[in-house]
Amino acid sequence: MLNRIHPIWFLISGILLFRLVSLTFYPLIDTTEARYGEIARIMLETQNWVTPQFDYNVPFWGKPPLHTWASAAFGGVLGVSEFSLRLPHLLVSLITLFVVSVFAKRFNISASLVILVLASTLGFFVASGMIMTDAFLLLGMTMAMVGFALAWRDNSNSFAYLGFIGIGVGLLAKGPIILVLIGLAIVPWLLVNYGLVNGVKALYRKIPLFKGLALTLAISLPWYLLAESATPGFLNYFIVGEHFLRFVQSGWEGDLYGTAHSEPRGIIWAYWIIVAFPWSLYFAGLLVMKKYRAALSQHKFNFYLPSYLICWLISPMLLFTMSGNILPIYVLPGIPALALLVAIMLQQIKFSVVMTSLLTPILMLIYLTIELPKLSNEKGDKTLLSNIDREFDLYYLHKRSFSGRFYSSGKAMKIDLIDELSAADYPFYLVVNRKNFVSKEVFDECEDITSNKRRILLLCK
Amino acid sequence: MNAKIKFLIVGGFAFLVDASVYLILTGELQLSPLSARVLAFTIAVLVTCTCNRFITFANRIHQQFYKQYALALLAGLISLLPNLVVFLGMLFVLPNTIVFELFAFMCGTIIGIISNFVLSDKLVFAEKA
Repeated sequence: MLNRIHPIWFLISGILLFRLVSLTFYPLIDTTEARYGEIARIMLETQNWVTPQFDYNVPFWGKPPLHTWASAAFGGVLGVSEFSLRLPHLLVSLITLFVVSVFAKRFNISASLVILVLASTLGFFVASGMIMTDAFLLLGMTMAMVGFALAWRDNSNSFAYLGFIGIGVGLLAKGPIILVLIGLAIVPWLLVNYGLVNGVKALYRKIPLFKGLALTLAISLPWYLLAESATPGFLNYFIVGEHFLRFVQSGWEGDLYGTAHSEPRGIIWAYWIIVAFPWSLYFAGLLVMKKYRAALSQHKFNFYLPSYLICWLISPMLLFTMSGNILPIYVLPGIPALALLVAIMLQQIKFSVVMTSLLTPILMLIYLTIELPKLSNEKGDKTLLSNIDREFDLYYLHKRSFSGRFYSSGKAMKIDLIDELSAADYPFYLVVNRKNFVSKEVFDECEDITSNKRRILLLCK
Repeated sequence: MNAKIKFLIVGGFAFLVDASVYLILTGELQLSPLSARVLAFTIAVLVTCTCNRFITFANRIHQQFYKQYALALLAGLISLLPNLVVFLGMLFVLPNTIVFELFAFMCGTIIGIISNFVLSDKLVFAEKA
């Protein structure tokens, strides 16, 4: 029976198995993943499924709730843990792989090769097991781009609706940015291949725009209205602040949930090389060789596929080129197009493909076993709080970490002055930053229990 | 697809199974790194042996599985020798930096894979006379 399965599927299943197993292997690390993990935990605890909360009764307006819903739901079914909160992100990534494989089969491209390339890309591998918005945005973008292309080529309303569902998913995963990403991919492709007038006419003829948009709104609008009604001011902050000011103002000060990043303009293109690693370098190598470049034009797709994929690939970079407030993972929505381009150029599995596809898992294994224990000690409080008595109160002086809140099940309380502890019930735990631990006399009633690189845990009796 | 690429794919798959089992044993089951390593290696050889029998060398007439498994373990251990010799030899010759260390590791692994392929082809999965 084994010899009936194409060998490449073993490699793909090995990569996915390794990702599944690795979900439990590392704790939530501050800031991003611990923050989203804590938001999901609070959602489950408070059963407030409309407004994600940054802290108890403090709304989180920074992102829509789709990934939080998924993590909280899995936490509810399997119990709250790193594994249960991360698992839906892996499952959503599997759906993305499936959608891309449907696209590949329809265009007579090797689906197994496309999946191997995509699954072994560094950014995809990382996002498929982290509590972030990106795996869900990637699914939305992929559904939209796959749906649009197949609706256009095959005059299929079903695929068009798949695309509009994808837009709805994107709106609930990350917000209106999905519309900009899709627009930046499709509009240049239409203009280059059809011109403005013919492009608009064909678009109107081939895509059920009004019914499709109605479907998108039916999926996404109810939550936006409910969220505004639950916490007025959300729409203004999220639409204007997060979608406009955040990107045009470096170090935007309106950010309610942290400090805006301030990266050099154009750095997104360098980020692409890292996030798409190792296939970004492999792709560059293929482009240099004439025979592989020629494969793009020789293939009969009955569709302007190479230009479509290139527009899809670069749309996140076009959007973020002039933005300083970005993260490397923002290029992820274009990565499926890279996998498709590589598969078209290669056409069959080669020795170098197998070796390249193993690079990301090898890097992750090195990272998980050598670097991560150090990083966990520096950027997370799981070990610090692993042996505390849950009956005692827990205080953080000056600043609470998200991982501290998550691993204390929300019991960590913040104090700004030591005097605030005069009313506290003894015994209690106090977590202080190493920088603040200059004068031992202040804490003379407390015993040093354990510490990590940033903080010290004291038991005060 | 030729046997060499199939062998490499099976090797890649076995490596990922090996790494996954190792993570489970050291993480969830709290085994010591050495015990986890030995157990994961044994399971990985079993996976490699099974896949090579049914995929890489599927068109050959095979001897009994337990004999092949014993030979596959032996081939794995023998291949460790050229792997380590090349790795340590290169470390001895090359400058002491992480880049050269990784390069030496890669060269050792490649020699180990070649040795394992030759032994699998000529010994473990040699056609039954």
